[in-house]
Amino acid sequence: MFRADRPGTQLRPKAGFQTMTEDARTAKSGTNGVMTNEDEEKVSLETLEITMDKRVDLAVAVATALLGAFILIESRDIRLGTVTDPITSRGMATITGTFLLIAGIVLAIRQLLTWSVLPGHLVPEEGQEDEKGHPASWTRAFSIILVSALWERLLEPVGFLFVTPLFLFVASWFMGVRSKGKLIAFPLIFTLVTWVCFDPVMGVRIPLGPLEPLARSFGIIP
Amino acid sequence: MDLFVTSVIESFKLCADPVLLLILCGGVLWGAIVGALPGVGAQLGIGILLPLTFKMTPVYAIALIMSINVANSFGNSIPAILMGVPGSSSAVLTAIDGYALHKKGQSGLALGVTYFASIFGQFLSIFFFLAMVVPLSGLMYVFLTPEMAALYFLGCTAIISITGDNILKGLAAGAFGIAVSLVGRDPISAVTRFAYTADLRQGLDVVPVTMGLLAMSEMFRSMRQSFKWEEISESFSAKFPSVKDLVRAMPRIFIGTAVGSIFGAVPGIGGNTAAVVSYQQSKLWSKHPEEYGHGSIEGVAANEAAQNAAQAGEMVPTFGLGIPATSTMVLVFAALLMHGFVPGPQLIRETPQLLYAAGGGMLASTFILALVGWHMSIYTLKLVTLDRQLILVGCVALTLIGVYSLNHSTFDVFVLVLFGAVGYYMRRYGYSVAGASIAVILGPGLEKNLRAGLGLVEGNFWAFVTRPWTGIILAVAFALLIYATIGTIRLARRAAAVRRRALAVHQAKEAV
Repeated sequence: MFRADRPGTQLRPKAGFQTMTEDARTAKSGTNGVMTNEDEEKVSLETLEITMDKRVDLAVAVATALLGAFILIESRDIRLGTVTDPITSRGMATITGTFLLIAGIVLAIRQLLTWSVLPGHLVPEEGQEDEKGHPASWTRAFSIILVSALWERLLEPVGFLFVTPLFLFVASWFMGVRSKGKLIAFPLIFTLVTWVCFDPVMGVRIPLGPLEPLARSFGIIP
Repeated sequence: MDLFVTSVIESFKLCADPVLLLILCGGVLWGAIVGALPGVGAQLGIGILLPLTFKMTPVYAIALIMSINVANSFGNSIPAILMGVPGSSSAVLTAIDGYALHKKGQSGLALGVTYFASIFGQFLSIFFFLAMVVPLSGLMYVFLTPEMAALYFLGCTAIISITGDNILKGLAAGAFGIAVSLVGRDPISAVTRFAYTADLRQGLDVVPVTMGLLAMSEMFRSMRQSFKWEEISESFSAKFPSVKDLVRAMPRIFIGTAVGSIFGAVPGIGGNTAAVVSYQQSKLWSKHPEEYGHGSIEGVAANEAAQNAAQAGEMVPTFGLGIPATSTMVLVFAALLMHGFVPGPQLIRETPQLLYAAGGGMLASTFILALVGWHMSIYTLKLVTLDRQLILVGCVALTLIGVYSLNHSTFDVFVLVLFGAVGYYMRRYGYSVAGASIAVILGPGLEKNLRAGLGLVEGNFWAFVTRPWTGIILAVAFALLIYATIGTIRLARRAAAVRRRALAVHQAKEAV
């Protein structure tokens, strides 16, 4: 269903599986002198991946600049209030907006200046890498984000007991689960167990939508 | 001194509470599981359970979070040793030496020393935490708004050391976090800023924002890939190391504990540097430095003791000063806010029970880990037979429900998903989500205290910075800032040079 991202170019692929958090990457690239420069270089050369889409990176930089510009413009409309101080209500907004605007522009220019260093649209990874040897798909992640947003929209009108199994079914399907047993049993059991834990046990009211009057008449909810 | 002794006694007393022990058993199990699962860590582990703690008493809630943190720190070394996959940044060096030992067929030695060093480092550092945090509580009588502003600035310096390869992107992430914190009422004049809807008038709740940035974004990122954990594991046999091996590791464990406790307590330095420095010092004093990097048991001991001790160290600025310097501490901070407490000197004086909860939670979790940790390290590898896809989907669902349950607000869920999506792009393109989260937490306090502090000295900036405590804290902050900036620039330049060389090799190959 999902088209895997172009696998990209991996220089001297390292055997085995490797996954690292954002902090782990930082630490690995920054083990102040524990590894020699030569070792570090070897490791980096072995693991450097050319998988970052420079077009999206540019778009994120432009978005950063636009956010900065927006904050800067909007900060001019912030009322100063009756309490006056040297920084004022606008001060932090102006500073942050200016910084974001400049940072976004610099990042965008930097990306444009190195645009033609590598052919194609992929450049060395700057963010958190995917696990090697397994295709990654941004559309899958984006679909999960969308169904999560839909869960939020539908929770109150449709009710937890309807929307959650649906969410779990669709999200599991997106994640590549095809076993009928898992696709049916997991959403139903998970929904029921979480509802029981949250509502009757912990006393957290969870919206039941159209089932609310029925649940009330049975005395399940007050 | 009285408060320290009381804290130690009360922390031990809490360990005898059967309900708490039961909760902590669950926390330890959960922490070890999330630590042992590749790509899942303390952020997710705490993030998912955070909303569930809302119905608990604050003491139980804080103790539970501590137990997850303690067990996770041990659990993340298991995949590091058995798969070469560091579960967290501070386990990177364990992955090098531990995995080398595993490949030599010495998995039991590596796991046993890790278990021993983790428990030892964690146990000793708890007393350090209590000893350090108690004197800080006395500062509430000395510190006014200028000093607090300086402290918040000190906390913000942590951002520079976690920016990653691209400093500008890291700083932009920090600025983004501050921008988010500006939404809502101005803390001084109470005028609304960027409040375009009624939901925004009170500002964005810290919990959904930080959970979106830290936990949800990581789940979305993980969901880019669909594979089974089983594909990356292999079978092994493990025997607990001999007393002789443990005795050989003891000096390194002491070095690691001391370094971890001290470095962990300094905002902007934290566990990663502590682990590295401890490893470095251990290598320096070792009779077998050539083993380091190729399967050194001393290296594993030093690194493990340091990273576990740093956990307690990192709590010193969080509890004592109200400055969370790491992403995990941001979630601890958020948990305290959720229960209506603002961490800082005042909290320790006015609600010492929470300090006891933190100390007791860590102590009891360490005891539990000492009892079951070794067997756990053998059995947690079986977790890889679980269905990764269903676990990730379940975690997303649990986080959505959990955040809804906090305020019965779908708007909070919307914020969670929105910041999860933003965080996804930040992670993918090198903008530090931890930096942004720290800024979200510290931004309001920095602005409020800076402006109120300037008001206190009638807008005289010189008078503001020359107040004795303010001056000292600002000097320390600038020293750390310079140290971190130079270090980060140096590393970024080195990484860029390596990248350039790699590209040159690549281009040469393409040309051929």
